[in-house]
Amino acid sequence: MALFMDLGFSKGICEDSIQNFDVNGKTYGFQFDVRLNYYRGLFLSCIDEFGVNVDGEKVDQMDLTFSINGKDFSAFNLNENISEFWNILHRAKVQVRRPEGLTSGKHEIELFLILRSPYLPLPGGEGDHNYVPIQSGGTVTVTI
Amino acid sequence: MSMIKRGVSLYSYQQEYYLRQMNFEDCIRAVADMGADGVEIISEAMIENFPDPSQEWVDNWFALLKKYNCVPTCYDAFMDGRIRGEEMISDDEAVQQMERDIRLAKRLGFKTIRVLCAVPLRIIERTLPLAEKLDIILGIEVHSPFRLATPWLDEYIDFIKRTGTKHFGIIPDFGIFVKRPVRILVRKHLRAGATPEIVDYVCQCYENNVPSEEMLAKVNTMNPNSEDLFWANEAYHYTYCDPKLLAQYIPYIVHIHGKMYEMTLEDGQWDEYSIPNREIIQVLKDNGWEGYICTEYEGQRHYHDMEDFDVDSVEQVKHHHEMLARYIGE
Repeated sequence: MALFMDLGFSKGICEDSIQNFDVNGKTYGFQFDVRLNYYRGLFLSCIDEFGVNVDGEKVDQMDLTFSINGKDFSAFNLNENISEFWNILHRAKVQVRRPEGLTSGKHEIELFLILRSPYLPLPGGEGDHNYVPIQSGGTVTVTI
Repeated sequence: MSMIKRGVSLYSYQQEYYLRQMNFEDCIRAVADMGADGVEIISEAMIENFPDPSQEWVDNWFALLKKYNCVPTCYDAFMDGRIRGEEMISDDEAVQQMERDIRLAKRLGFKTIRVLCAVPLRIIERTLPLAEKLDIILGIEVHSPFRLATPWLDEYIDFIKRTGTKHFGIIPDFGIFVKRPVRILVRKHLRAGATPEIVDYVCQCYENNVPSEEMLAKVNTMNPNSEDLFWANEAYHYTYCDPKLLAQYIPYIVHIHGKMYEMTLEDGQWDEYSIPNREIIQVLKDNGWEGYICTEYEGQRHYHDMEDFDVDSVEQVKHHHEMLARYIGE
C-alpha cells in the first residue's frame, strides 16, 4: 500500500481556474492552476510524478507544460530543476495541448502529482521511494 | 524570576496561512496578541522568493517585528538530502545548504538555527566556522523518534564538551515527552473504523510502556481490522522520555520547541493532553535554564479527514501560552 502524506490543504487542481486557452486566435488546449499540498515550498526537482488524464485518457507528456514563477517547463525536465522554487502560496499553471480544448459538456480531469519530501526519509523505505511522498494531485469534474 | 521566555513557531499557523485566512503580518500579530515576543519561522514556508528574498521583503520583516515588539528567535533549517530524485547530495552540497541557511538567518536577525536531527556531526563540524564568524548558534533538534540519553545524542554532546564551542547545542522538541497517545489522532482512527476496545488497549499499553511485540501479539488475538493494526503500529512511533533527563543537558539547550497537539480545559486551566508540560518546565526552572520555548502546534492535520474540519490554531496556541505562562510563573 502506498503511504502518502496528504495534509488536506488542497485538492490539487484549483477548480475556479479551469479554462480553454487560445494560440493565434484558435483554441489550443486547456489549462488549470495547481497548489502545492504541503506546509513548506519545494524545488521542482522534488516532483516525482506528474501527469494528466482527461475523461480517463492519458495525456501525452509531450503535451504538458508546467509553469511557475513566470517560467514554462516541459514535463520531461521538471525533476532536474533544483533551483526553481515553488512557494506554497503560489499557483503553478498546467497547460494541456489539446486542439479542441475541453468541449461543451462534462469532463473529468485527473491530476497525478506526487512530490518527495526531500528531508524526510520514509520509515522502513527502500529504493526509489525511500523519501516521504506528498500527494498533491486530485480529480475534478467540470462542466464547460 | 524565571528566565524562560515565550515564542511561537509560525509553523503553528500553517493551515490558516495556506488557506490565506492569515497573512504573514497576521501571524506575527497573533504572537504579540498572546503576550509572547519570540518569532520562529520555517524559511521555505513563509519567505518570499526563498532562498533570496528581496531587500523589500527583508525590510518589511524587520518593520513588522518592530511594529509588534517581537524578536526573531529560531530559523528552522532543513537538509534537503534528496533534492535530486536519484541520489543523495554530497557532503559539499550539504555544507552549502547549511551555509546558505546561516547567511539567510543572519540577514533576518535570527540568533539560532534549528538543524534537523538527521544532519551528521561531520557536516556540523564543517559548517561551524561560518556560524562562529556570523555569531549564529546551531542547534540539533532532539525530535521523536530520537531520544535523550542515547548514543546518537552523546556523539553531539561529546563534541560540544571536547571543543567547548558556544555555537552548537541542542533543541529539544516536546514531542519526545508524549506520555499518552495524542487524543485527536485516536479519534481520527475511530472515525476511520478502528475498534474502540483495541484502540483503548493500545493506548493503555503505550502509557504503561508495554513492549510493542507484547502489545501486537495481544492485539492480533482481538480480531483487529486494518485500521486497528495501523494504529497499533503508529501509536508506538511516538516517544516518551523522562523529563528529568533534561537536567543533564541544560547548558547545551539553545532553544526549545513546545510541541502541542491538543489543549484541553480541566478545572478552568488549560493543559496539553499528551505532554506533561508542568513536569518538563519544572526541570527547566529548577536548573535555571534560560531561553525561548516556541510553541509548535501540530494538531491541525488530524482533522483533515472530516469534510468540514474547523481548526482554530490561534485559539489553540493562545491556550498553550496561558499554560506556559502559568508553569513558567510569569
